[in-house]
Amino acid sequence: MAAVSAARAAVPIAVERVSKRFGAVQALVDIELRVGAGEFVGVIGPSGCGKTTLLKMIAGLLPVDAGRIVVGDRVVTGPGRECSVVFQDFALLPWATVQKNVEFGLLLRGVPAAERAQTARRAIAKVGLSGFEGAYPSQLSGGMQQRVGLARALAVTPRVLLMDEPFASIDEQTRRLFQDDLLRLWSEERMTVVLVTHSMEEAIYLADRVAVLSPRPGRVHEVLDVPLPRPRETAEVRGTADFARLVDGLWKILRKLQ
Amino acid sequence: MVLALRAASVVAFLLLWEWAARVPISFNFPSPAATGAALLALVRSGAILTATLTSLQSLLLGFGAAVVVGVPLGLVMGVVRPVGRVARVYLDLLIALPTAALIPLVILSFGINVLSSAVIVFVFSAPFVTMNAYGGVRDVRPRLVEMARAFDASWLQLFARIVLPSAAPMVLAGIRYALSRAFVGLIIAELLLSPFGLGRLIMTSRSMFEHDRMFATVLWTLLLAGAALAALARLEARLLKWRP
Repeated sequence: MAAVSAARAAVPIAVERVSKRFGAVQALVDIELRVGAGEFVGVIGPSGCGKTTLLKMIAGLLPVDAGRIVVGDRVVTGPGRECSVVFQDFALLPWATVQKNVEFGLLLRGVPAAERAQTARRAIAKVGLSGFEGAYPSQLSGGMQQRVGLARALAVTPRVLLMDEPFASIDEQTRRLFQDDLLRLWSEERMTVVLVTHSMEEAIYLADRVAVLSPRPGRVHEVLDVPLPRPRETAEVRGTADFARLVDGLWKILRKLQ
Repeated sequence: MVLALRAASVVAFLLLWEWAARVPISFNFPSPAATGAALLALVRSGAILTATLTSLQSLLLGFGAAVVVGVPLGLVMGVVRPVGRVARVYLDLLIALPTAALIPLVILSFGINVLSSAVIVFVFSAPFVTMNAYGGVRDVRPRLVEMARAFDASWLQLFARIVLPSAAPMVLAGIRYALSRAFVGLIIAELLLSPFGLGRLIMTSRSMFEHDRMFATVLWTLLLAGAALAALARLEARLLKWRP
């Protein structure tokens, strides 16, 4: 493999017998989850099942109490450079323009200004926000703000993209277009993606596999394969019988967990 | 629209003042015209300019120290929580304190000079600078800190790139409020310390029953404070132009 592509290659994630408790509450118990390099895995479960906690632990934002998480060949002990996180509430800097927001990760990593600006402009173009470089977050719609959040995550060329309910606060039409863009970007960038969501349709539409967590304490109840053909964003996958059957199957699992 | 309203409010104020002077509430209540004339005379003679220069020394010294000490102190209080919890009590007390009552103590400690007035200006303004800087840090959105941490930000980067800009609006508002407090402190200090500055001009005019001169000096001080506050507000608007 050439050096350039090796530097950008996706890496696998291994979550091995990971447990987490908050005070008296056992949040997660013996979580086992393997995500292949370049795979797109959805994580779904009833609210309070600890799916965001799991994502934060993979990102190195929360320590594990037991077990370990391996991203690529690194055991996670804190935030690392392989992962980028996309947050539900966008987490944009209100005092910075779109351009500066997208540059933020590069800035923290000491990338020189000229390169930073160029890389950020490319990332902004990828998410379809060219022309908005000088706008402030407060001037943008929720969907556009999340595109900025995605561009910021992509600008550092992550090997792993961790998304915490990224479309939860975006309206339905914008969401569908955004999901298609995400699939397109994912096939172009070849990243490993872990997407936490509470939307069954979203999990089925986007992911290769869907991990279903059970609540209190959170465990991996089942991992569902999604054998829908790709690219899904060009075909009308959402209208097919297979899609409906898979969503229904996921609902049957989730209903038993409530 | 706002401009017209402002102009109208000034005219209305002057009319009310003129009416109050004619009624007469008191035989020595100066009219706007008399006050204006006195102000002009004070400017021509240079008396008010000399007094202003003296007063500005105390003001800049005291207010400058309040910003230089108050902002870092407030930031440290916000970042290092135990320090904040302890210092906050003293700060609350300092704000509740009738500061003017401290003036004799200050004079005893520092003597009757520009430094004394500066110390009083400092005591009047510093607690508000500190309190707002502290509040600004406490208001930082945890999510932004988390975001920066996800990019593996160092402690220094978190502080410089997230905490400082987050706290900036409250820090600046605190500085602006402290400036108006500084002017109040300055005049009170000089009224009681007397030997120099605008406060002295007010005192001597009063003791000689030159109420138009006294009013003129008060008006001048008000204009000075107003100009300084407006300049700060402009700076604030420039620095915080991202706010919707």
